[in-house]
Amino acid sequence: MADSDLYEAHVRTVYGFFMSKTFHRELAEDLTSEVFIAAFEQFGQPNRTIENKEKYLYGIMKIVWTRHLRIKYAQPVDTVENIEDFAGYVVSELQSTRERSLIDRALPYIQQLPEHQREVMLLRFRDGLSLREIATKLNKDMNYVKTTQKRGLASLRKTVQGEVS
Amino acid sequence: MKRTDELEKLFGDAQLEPRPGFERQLSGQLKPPNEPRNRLRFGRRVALAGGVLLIALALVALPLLRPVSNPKSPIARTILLKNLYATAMADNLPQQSSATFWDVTQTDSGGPAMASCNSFIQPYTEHDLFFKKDNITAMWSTATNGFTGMYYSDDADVPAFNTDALTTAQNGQFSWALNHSKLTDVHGKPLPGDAATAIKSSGTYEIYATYPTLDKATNAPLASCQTRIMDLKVDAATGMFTEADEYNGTIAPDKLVDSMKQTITTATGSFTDVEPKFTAVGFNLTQAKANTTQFTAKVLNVTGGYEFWYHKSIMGEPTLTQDKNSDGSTGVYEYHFVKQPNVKYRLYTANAENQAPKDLADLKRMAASQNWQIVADDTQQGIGFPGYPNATTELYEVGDGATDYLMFATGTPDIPYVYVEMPIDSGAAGDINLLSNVMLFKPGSTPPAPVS
Repeated sequence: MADSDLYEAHVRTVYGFFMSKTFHRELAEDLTSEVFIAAFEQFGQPNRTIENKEKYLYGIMKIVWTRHLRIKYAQPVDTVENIEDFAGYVVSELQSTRERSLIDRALPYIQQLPEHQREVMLLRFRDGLSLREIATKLNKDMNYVKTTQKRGLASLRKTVQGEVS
Repeated sequence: MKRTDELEKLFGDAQLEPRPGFERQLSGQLKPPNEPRNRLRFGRRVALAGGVLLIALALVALPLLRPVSNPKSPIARTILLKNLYATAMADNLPQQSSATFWDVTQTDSGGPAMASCNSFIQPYTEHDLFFKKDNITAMWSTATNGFTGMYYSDDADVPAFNTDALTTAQNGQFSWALNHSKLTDVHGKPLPGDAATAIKSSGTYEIYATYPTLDKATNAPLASCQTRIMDLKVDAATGMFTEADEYNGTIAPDKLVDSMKQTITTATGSFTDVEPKFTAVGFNLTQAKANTTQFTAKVLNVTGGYEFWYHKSIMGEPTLTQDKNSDGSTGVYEYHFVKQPNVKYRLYTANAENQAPKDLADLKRMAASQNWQIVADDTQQGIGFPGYPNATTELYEVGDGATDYLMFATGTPDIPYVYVEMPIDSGAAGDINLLSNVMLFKPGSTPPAPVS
């Protein structure tokens, strides 16, 4: 497989995995770039033959992801390091994310919001209440609910995207 | 606009796809040097890539340097020994009851060897030295995870290493492999259920086993690498592994995933006897003792909904007393430590009635009236605990010259305050870990894992 074909075949999987783990576009792009740049630098070395470039690519991806986790959380990441079939793991994790509902994907981030925003966001998106039902339940007026939801969404965007889309 | 449109923008499937602009930009960056490149604005990442390359080179090059094993007689060396095999599966180093010293080297040259196999096992060599006799324990290790470095202790309550390591041989991967394996002949064919066994009292048994290559996380077979043959060398007298590696004399190379070999040598005697073996690899006794004092112990109270860590070497064993409210419920969990009897460590429940100071405001009033010096007053918003990730906490510490008083407002409903009094000469004063390492969760529930 030509290097360009390898890129075409895997760039979406690599990016999708990083995005599914971070939901931070800039970070996912940086990590993806790091993986491919490092791999392709080696592919281009003269007098060097890499028999299984796909395996090599995912080996580098594993290193990049492990190091990111280690730097971010400053703790051992044995679980990831011990994954033998990292390519399979990537595909499986990405598929798992695709199968999760929107709220399930969002919940870990909503849980990190300030208390009032979290309360409104959970009632709105997890429990499916209308703005009026939320206002009634919280004994607040509609303006409070609208404003708090707006702030909650802004906080979510700031947290997960690194840019406002 | 649908209710979930905003979430769709942030977490929808479209977010899992790269922007077309990014794809094109990166594609341009990856073109060979003789083609025009579009330099990306990923300067930080590009710089880091250099380090990755060095690691990746090592990871890929080492398996290529792996020597081919000598062919072995396929029949003569197949020994059927189920009961000893079962003993071996227990991974029981301590069967060497007289041993006080273990020198364990494990190498894994990495893999895979087959083109269609996606498994990517990182090559590594780990070297560990252990000593355990009476109250003295010592360890030196090159392990990259878990126990790393050097430790020494003469306190049985605070061993230099988790002596459970001697029952698992510091070898999780090896134990895991064995627990998923079955006996085979040298060709990898499973043995019949009534296969004969033979017992020897000396010498070395050689056993072949095969197991499916499973994903450790899911325990499910991997898509491609299905079979792995292991050649075990087991000491007949002790059941201890002396060697284990892949047998690749008759098994097709495309069945092999990687090659792992472990060697263990033991010795008996005092630490003085084996200390030269430690110093020869760089063990420093002074440093090892200092490292060990950093070890902490954990107190877990599921009913109360808390756990905390403390320096056991400094504090000693804790004892718990519970102050009851008038209705019989627990008001305060109070700990005393055998080595620091003047230290008070209290966790207040929401309805605590009899404590003093009773809350953060109370301690602040006391500090102001006594003119105590503020040592720390730190508020953290939205960090909290795994059980209460959005709790806003406040750590307040004051001192009167002889004693430090610390109150930790946790921002949680069940244990709202943790309070500590520490005499400054206790050796534990100022040990912020005693407070910052408390974790709270819903009483009666399983402690949640740390946020990751």
